Amino acid sequence: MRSRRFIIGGVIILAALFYLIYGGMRQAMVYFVTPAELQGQEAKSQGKFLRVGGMVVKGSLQRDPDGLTYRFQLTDGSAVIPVRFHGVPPDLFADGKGAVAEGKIGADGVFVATTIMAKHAEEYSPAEHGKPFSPRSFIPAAEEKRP
Amino acid sequence: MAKAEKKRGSGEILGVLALLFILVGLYVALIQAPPDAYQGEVQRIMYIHIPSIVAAYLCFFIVFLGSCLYLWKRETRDDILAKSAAEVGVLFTALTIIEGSIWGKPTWGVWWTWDARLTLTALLLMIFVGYIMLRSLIEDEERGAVCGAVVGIIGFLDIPLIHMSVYWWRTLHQPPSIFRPDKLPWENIKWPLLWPLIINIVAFVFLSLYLLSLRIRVGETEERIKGEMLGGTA
Amino acid sequence: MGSWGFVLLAYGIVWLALVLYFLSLKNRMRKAGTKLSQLRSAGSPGKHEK
Repeated sequence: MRSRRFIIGGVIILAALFYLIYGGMRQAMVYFVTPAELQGQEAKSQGKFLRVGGMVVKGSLQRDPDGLTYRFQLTDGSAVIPVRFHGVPPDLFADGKGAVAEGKIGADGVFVATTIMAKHAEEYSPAEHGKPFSPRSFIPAAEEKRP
Repeated sequence: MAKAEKKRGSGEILGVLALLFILVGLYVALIQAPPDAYQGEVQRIMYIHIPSIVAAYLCFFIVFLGSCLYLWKRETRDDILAKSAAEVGVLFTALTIIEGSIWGKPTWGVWWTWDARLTLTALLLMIFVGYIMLRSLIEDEERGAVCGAVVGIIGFLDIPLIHMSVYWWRTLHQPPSIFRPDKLPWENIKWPLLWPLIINIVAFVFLSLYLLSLRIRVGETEERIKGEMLGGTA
Repeated sequence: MGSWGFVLLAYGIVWLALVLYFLSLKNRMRKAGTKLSQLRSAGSPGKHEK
């Protein structure tokens, strides 16, 4: 009898634990929103902590003269959202690559990111022979256009 | 007695195989393999990250088997197997999270984030740390074994969830590179980087089984001590 | 911290933890073995009493 009571108690504790994790999981289930989902919701989402995920639009990545402010656009293929970030982005953050930005939408419709995370593909290949690897080899688009 | 000797012998063979593959694995992972084109040297952490989680999954699968067998036949042997595998599994899960974190900082830009895959892996660790605590808290041997078996089976069910999480939800973690039905491993990982990974997976599988065999021997000896203290001839 | 710094940190922690766990298992094995043989040598006359 006591063992049955113990098992019931254990199941209740486990159920409570799973309920907590479930609450956390609901947040994890919508880990980020896409630019398309955000489109038209800018005013409503203003001031709310959000994660936006997508690809950095090729050629959109620009670095301000202070060297620490980055401006770029995130896209999911259908919509585009402008992002501003002040800080040091991860090594793998680059033009045309996947990224998740954490932050809030400002009054001007620009997403102000406090954290930038690089999302990368599940693909691995050796570095080309003779070419030294340089993670920060991306050149800001503004500089690239220079002759 | 002869049976115990034989068991011990096969345990030693596992140890020798583990050591052999570990040495070759370390050489290929740290020296021989070329750096990844995109991630650079940091990608070498993959050669222990994936093997660690494979070892952890294997251990928790053994917990699952041992737990089912125990609930069915009520033999102490199966409970010792489950209990031992849970301990080794917790070690490898913790190592997986630590390695992932050290890899995440330079690649993603953060040590940790609450995406579905990371959250569910943390849950897996929590469940089996809970399992070990539960086992040490319950004095009654049989009751502890039954409760443990139930938690062990539930905990194992988290693994398919972890594996599918990257398909079912949006995550920061990338989809699997090797264990997937739609693509072959070498489509995602080029051979010069794939075979060092395979050697290290084999090394970690042998290592986890060897550690498990040692842990089982500890469990069996403790069981005999209990038998002696009860005055029986166990 | 450079790329290799992260790699060596990860490998260092992992192998340190694995070696420590291996040693702790050996230690538990030795302790349990000693206790068992003590019990067996001390316990045999006790059994006859019963």
